[in-house]
Amino acid sequence: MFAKKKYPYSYRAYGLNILSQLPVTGFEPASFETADVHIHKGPVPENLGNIINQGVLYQSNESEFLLRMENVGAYYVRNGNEIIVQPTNTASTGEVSAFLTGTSFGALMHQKKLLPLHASTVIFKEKCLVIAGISGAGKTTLAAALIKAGGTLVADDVSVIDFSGEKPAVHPAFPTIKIWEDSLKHLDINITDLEPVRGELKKYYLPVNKFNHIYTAISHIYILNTHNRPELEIKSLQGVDKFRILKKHTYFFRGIPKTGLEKNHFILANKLAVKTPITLLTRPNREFNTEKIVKAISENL
Amino acid sequence: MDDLKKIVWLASYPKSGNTWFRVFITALLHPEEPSVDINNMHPATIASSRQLFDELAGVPSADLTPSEIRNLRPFVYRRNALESEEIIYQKVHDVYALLPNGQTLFPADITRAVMYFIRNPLDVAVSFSHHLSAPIDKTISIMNNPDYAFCQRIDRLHNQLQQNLFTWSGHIKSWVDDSGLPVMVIRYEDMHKDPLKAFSGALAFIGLKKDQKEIETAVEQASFSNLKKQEEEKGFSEKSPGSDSFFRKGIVGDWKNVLSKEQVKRIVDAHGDMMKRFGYDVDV
Repeated sequence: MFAKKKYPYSYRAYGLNILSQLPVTGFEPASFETADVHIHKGPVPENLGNIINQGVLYQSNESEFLLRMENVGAYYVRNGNEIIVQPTNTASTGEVSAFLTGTSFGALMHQKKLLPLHASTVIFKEKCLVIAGISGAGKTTLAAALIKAGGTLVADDVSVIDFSGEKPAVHPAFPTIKIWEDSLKHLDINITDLEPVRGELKKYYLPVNKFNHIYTAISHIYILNTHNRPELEIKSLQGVDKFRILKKHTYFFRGIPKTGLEKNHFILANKLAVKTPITLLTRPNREFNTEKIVKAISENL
Repeated sequence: MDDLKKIVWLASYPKSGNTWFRVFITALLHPEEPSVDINNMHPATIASSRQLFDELAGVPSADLTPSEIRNLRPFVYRRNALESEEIIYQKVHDVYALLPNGQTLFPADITRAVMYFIRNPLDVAVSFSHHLSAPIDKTISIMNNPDYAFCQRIDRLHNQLQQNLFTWSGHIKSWVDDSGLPVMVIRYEDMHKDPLKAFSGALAFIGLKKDQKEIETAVEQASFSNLKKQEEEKGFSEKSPGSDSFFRKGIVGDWKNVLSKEQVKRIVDAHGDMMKRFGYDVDV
């Protein structure tokens, strides 16, 4: 019972058992014997002692990651099994969770030597489809459209590849997506009662009840792109282009170079590239006709 | 390069010759490539690129508020300067701005120079209306609207970050008068009349030494007919989806064939002072 007192929240996400001192918006509650990751609330170091990679808001090395968000809080991720969060007084649970479930867990996956892709994953017509793409390409909206058309969610925005079986799969992440009001309207989904990701943004946490917990090997990786032409273009990738595109769409790849994780990433991305068909799906940037894309994917399966 | 002053801002109101100059500079710096590829310019991104921001900040801008993004942008550009081993020619359509956090959007300590491109607003109105796929009257209202910005909806994710444009005159004022940065103004019309002279002047200002032959070759590669031909053959990724082409006519004075008297008056009434200052005829 000691653990329950110290860690009031327990979740399962990305194939990991997580004990937490803070509530995490979006994660699925679970009970288990041993935890893989502990989330603590407490003070976070000012700087890392050994900075190998850094950006404006983060510092990292092979086993540590530090993120500072002025209005939300600071996050310190280490050894692939611990996250310390120091929230600001004004930040909501939803706000604190946004940088925990995405960015912090993305960094933790690298520390665990796993392969996180910047992708959403859906089981559609019994096929596991990974939809990768840059921010704004429409991964989440397309995933939501596929779910509406009968699919089930595996992961939104960060898809962690599971190499434990014969074929690569995706670890079920958690049954929530972060989606913009414009997309909710487009998909005819009611906004009432949805929790906003940030107070100022019209972007919401949407709980998804059709969530897949079962190991399902990846059938296809789609790279969602946009162009300024009116047609939807579908092009299959081969050879080294497959590796290159997986590298480009690796979540938080910037934290990897010059560390021991670089070689590990190379091996995993190659393994995935060899075993999985990858197709470029380029849509017109002027309009996002999800029905047309869902139809094209159905025909391409 | 020890000096952090690595960024040359290629700043302008839209449709004023910015892309033309970028093609020229790309051709000039990459003579090893047989011909400049308009779909592969260096750098490929605009300052308001969401990818550039996400990459250098380390968190997705999709989870940040507009004010957080604005306040972080100068740090993103500083990071970019810090990591770059060469001069960055960075296209930008935002106005120059002082931010609530006391920073300036385009910091002086990383700025090598500003090339500010100006074009007669009467021609800008025609070209910009094609770009926006909007009627001329609406385009003029945009050019006269101090609150106009690209990508400002907060209910969806734009492919670029919000860019405040102010009015056509306000845009110029922000960079040329208020920024305090080393600015060279280049008129589209002068690039058109004598590209060799205009581009050579810009290189001298930036402090980039190239011989006459290299400049001539780059000018030739960046000629309007070459750009238009490339776009016809392969398309251009920076064309707006609603317009027929990015490189449309590339001429000076097309407004005479397009604008009504009332439309000309609306522009001259709003921007006459700035037009006169940069040598554009207002008695039309």
